[in-house]
Amino acid sequence: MPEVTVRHSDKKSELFSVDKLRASILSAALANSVPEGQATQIADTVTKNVDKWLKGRAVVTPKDIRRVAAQTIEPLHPGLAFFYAHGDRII
Amino acid sequence: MNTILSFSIILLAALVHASFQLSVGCLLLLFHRNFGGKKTRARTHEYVGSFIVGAGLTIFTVLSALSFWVVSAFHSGIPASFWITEIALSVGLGLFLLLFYYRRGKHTELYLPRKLAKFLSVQIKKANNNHEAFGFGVVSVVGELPFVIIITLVGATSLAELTSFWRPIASLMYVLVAILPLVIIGFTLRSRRTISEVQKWRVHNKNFLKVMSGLCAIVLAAYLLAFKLVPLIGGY
Repeated sequence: MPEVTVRHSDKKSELFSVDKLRASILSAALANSVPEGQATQIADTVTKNVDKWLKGRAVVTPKDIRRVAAQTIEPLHPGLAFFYAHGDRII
Repeated sequence: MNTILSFSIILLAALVHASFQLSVGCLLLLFHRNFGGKKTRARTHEYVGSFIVGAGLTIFTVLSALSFWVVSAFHSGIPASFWITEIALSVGLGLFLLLFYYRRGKHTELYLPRKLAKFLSVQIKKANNNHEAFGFGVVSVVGELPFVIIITLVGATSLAELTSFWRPIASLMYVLVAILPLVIIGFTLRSRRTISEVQKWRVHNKNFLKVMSGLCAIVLAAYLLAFKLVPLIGGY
């Protein structure tokens, strides 16, 4: 897969990492008392879907990734989808 | 009568204090990072407990320090100018809570310097023991001190007017009411409710919380005006 740059709002940027995305979904799922097996399944589905969405894109923002990930989680676990979409804006 | 009046002011001030949301947000982040980071439920709740104790002790320390300052500074009673300052600041705080405190949007982001918010959310990830969780409880209260200090000062002034018998009881009441949201959320998460349910409730009731906290601060100012300033100026 070609390298995709994630540009943050403070103008810093980094390369997209599947592991980082997977870890953040797993963490959100476990914090929401989703059983570990189901959490892993959700994380795998979401990373695959986000990976597919990233094809053909060179630069994305963390907001884009969260939005696409939350859209994928929605049918699997609506509560988790809400938390994942807005979980970075708690304070 | 004076004791009841002071207690009611302290209670109202504590309610306004309780409506500030930085500590609540930090508590949720602490829960998220630890329970989501594969720590056991029991260990996560221990951290939540330490966080609440840290926040409570900090509020108690600030309240006591301000009360001590008021007692030392005004030996012959609180002057009218001091009440006027507190009333003006409370109205200002009420308007700030109503208009600016929460950022617009489907989230619970607060009107805090973004660097501070980012620093807190990054550092909370690293909380790995009870001492650090306690420390974050302290920091979450200190982070909001520029706003909360107005309300704590009102509480401390009323505290200074009480006899030494009632002071510890009133201080304890202030602290318990101020940390009540943290305790309720701690118990909610303990009773197997999920963090997303809590956050959803906060987002959906954001406007209600905003209006209630802002109005409470303005009511507190009106209360001070009617029961403290007017009798003092009127001389009865």
